[in-house]
Amino acid sequence: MRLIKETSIKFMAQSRLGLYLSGAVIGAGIISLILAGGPLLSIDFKGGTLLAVHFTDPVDVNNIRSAMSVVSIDGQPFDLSKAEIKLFGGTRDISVRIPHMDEEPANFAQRIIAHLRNSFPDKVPEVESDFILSIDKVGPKIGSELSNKAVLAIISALGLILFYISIRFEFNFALSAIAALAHDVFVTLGIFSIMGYEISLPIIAAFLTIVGYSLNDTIVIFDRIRENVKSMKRLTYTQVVDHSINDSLSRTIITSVTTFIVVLILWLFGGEVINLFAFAMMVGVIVGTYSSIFVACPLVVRLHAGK
Amino acid sequence: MSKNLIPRYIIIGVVLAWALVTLWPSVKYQQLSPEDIEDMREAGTLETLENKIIKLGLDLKGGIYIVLEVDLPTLVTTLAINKDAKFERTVNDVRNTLTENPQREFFTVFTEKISENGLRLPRYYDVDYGAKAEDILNSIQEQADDAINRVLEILQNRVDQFGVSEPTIQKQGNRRIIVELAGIQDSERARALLQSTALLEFFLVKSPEVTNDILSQIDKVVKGDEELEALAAAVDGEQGQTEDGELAVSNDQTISISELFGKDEVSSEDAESGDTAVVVDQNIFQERPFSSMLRALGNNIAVPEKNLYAIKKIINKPEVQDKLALGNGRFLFAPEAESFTTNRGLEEPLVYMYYLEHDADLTGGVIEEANATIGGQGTSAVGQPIVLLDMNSEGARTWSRITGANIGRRIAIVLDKKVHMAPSIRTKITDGGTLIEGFANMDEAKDIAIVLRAGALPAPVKIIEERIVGPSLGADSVKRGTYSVLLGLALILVFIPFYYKLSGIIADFALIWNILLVLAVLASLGATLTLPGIAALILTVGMSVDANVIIFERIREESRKGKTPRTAIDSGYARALTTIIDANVTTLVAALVLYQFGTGPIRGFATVLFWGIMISMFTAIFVTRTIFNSFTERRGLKKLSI
Repeated sequence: MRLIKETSIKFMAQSRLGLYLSGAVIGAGIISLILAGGPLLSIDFKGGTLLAVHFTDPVDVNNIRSAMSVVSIDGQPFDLSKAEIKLFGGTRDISVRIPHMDEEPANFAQRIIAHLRNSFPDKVPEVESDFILSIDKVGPKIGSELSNKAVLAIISALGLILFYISIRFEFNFALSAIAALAHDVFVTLGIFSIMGYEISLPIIAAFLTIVGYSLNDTIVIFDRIRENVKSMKRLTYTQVVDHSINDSLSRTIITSVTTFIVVLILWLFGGEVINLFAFAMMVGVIVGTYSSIFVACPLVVRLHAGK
Repeated sequence: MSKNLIPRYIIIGVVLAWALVTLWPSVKYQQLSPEDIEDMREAGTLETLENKIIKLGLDLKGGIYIVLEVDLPTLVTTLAINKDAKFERTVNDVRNTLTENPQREFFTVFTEKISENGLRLPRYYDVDYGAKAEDILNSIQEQADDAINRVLEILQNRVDQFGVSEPTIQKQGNRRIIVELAGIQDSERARALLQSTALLEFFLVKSPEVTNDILSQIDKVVKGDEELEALAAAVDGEQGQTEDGELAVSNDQTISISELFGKDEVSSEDAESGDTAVVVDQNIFQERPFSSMLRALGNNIAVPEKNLYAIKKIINKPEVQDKLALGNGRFLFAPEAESFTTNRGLEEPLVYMYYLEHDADLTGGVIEEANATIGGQGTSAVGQPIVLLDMNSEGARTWSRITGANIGRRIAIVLDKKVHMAPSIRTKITDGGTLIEGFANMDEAKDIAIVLRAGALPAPVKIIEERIVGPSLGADSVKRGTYSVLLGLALILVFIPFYYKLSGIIADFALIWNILLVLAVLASLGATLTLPGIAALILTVGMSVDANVIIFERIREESRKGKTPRTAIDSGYARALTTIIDANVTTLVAALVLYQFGTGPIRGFATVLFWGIMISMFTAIFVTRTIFNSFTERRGLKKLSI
């Protein structure tokens, strides 16, 4: 069976269209990022407390919010109604996110959970440990360290990749590949900002995987260009690039579709914890495939012409 | 089959056999019932089995992950002698700077503040004459490094006695300790166990006269306080019910904390709520703002739980601290509130407050043995959990001297700055034996016995990161993760043969082989499978499929050029090889970087991704190639099923 017969699409002639599309998506992302004052960072980077609890009956977020408006811990009052309270998965689970405070009493998260338990006694599971789904508490120091580490991780990954491609191919290819990767990360970051999703530690991992995947895709095409440049001496550089994209198109589509299917399944069935990770990956697979053809290749052509 | 293929099949067979043998314990473990596991634990065979299986991360099986850091500002204060206000101020400056810029290194800031405040370091540390500030700082730094190792040892000791299966305690860098406790739910208890410095101190309690004196002194100091004046006026305006009782305080009126300390402390909309209000006697509040928030309970002073925060705020005011320093005393509280019935028949939680001598008469490090038990007949804690202490000879001598010299006075037994009890000394205690009471339950008494036995921490530790996953969320993640992997795998296993026919079946075989091998490597490395690790496993499936797709598409291309199956496969593989290597090496780079920078779950992701890529390259290049070759070797194969 063959889905894709031999094609000879003139991709490079359409590269302007790609420029507009990428420009529009990245532009929208940047506007959203500016309006939101930067990416929405999770407590992993900002510090704070995130807790998730499970009720036996569906709960209304507004009721939780009003219960959280007065939390008294040893006479020290806290108004946590401004905390981010939302449903977590189904209608019975909620998550509460509280920014870091300088004057936090000991066992802050545990005391808040106790307060919630006392506020809705008839909706709480009998076994105490079934009530707490998770507690994450990150100090501001750890948070700022993780931000630095994440930035350092992405930069050093890109640096190493630049180095490898420069050796295996040529510097132009490396630059184009890195531009495509930056494109992918920006698009995903923008979409996360537009959707109002948080960037947490696992999302950084997803970003790096997107980088890996997109690069994988780009290299397959580059590899073809490298090969065809030698054998198709009579064609122009643009024609060689078009030819190479068409040659590898079948593989590109099969791989992208199968990978997309697995991350789609992960997104649909993987559970609340991994949901955003899978979403980032889904966006990444689409954007990564697109950027190999419409960002990396036109750049290679342009850089070649500029020589 | 030609001779040159036989060694290849032997390698494939051996690796497959190894994978199956390595995975067998994990399969066996999965089938064990909880009772079987208990039986094996008793027989002592469980640990051997657990070492051979794929470990699940805390995010999958539930548990507690805690990062502790040595509290350096407190450590330098503890190490110092002759502390004065200037020293305390410098350390406080350092603390504030670090709160604002959490990224800065402690010793850099400390050095900076020392020169800013003109602190002469040799004054505060016990050093040889002529030692330079630099040497002292280096020596403090060395002591801090040494402290973390002892903290690690002591925590290991405590956790071992706590009884958790497979606890992980490791050092991260020079200042941090990571503790992972699987399957533990009571995070408060775990925190207390880890964070307790186990600092046991004995303070003499000041006499009631002296205590009353300091209370009225504080009242006078606070009375002029601007923050409280507005409140005094507000109380005056509202005359509530008057009702006299035995207790010193009866005319209760609730006043919100925001009124007490200004609106910025809490949001004003909650100010009306009784929940966050301070309970005071309105008649005496104006005259005695501090003591009116307290209760008299026999010979003791107690603080209504609701007033605790306000009282602590007042005590920490600099002018109040000055008074306490003059009187050479300090206030400490009981660990927990106890319920008392007020004269109006209401249950009220009260926390005992004690006015003690400023310096401890005996500090920890003298405990030889500590055991939790139930208080027997004839003691003050009949049926209550208590901890029995035995001191070493030095401790016993000091204890004997103190008890002998202070018969009739009260002595407070203080653990981690909380007063557990303050009995009167009736006789001289010569054998070093003593007991502590005042525990909420037996578990707490047991834990405290553990920390006292394991010894005091040389430096206090702070929890800077804490992640707790409940058992239900973990179980849910495992279920959903496994389900997603299986479903994704099933779809691909069906799709590939549909698209590539017989060759697709070879690819399917490669895929299954791939997953088995990755899991086997994880099991043999003792690596931990986390939720992101499951995601990486799914990506590995994608990678493995991709390698085969690249090869198959290349073979198809070569076939279209009219090549025979044999040559099409040869040149298809040859050409696909460079593509696969180049494409995978870059992902490998990403995986390695992730491993280097990540912690916990992210590392789990990187580990699986790394091995997934390595193994899928091996499979695509070696395993499927071998199978293909054995097909094409048969003579007369005209057409490839691809």
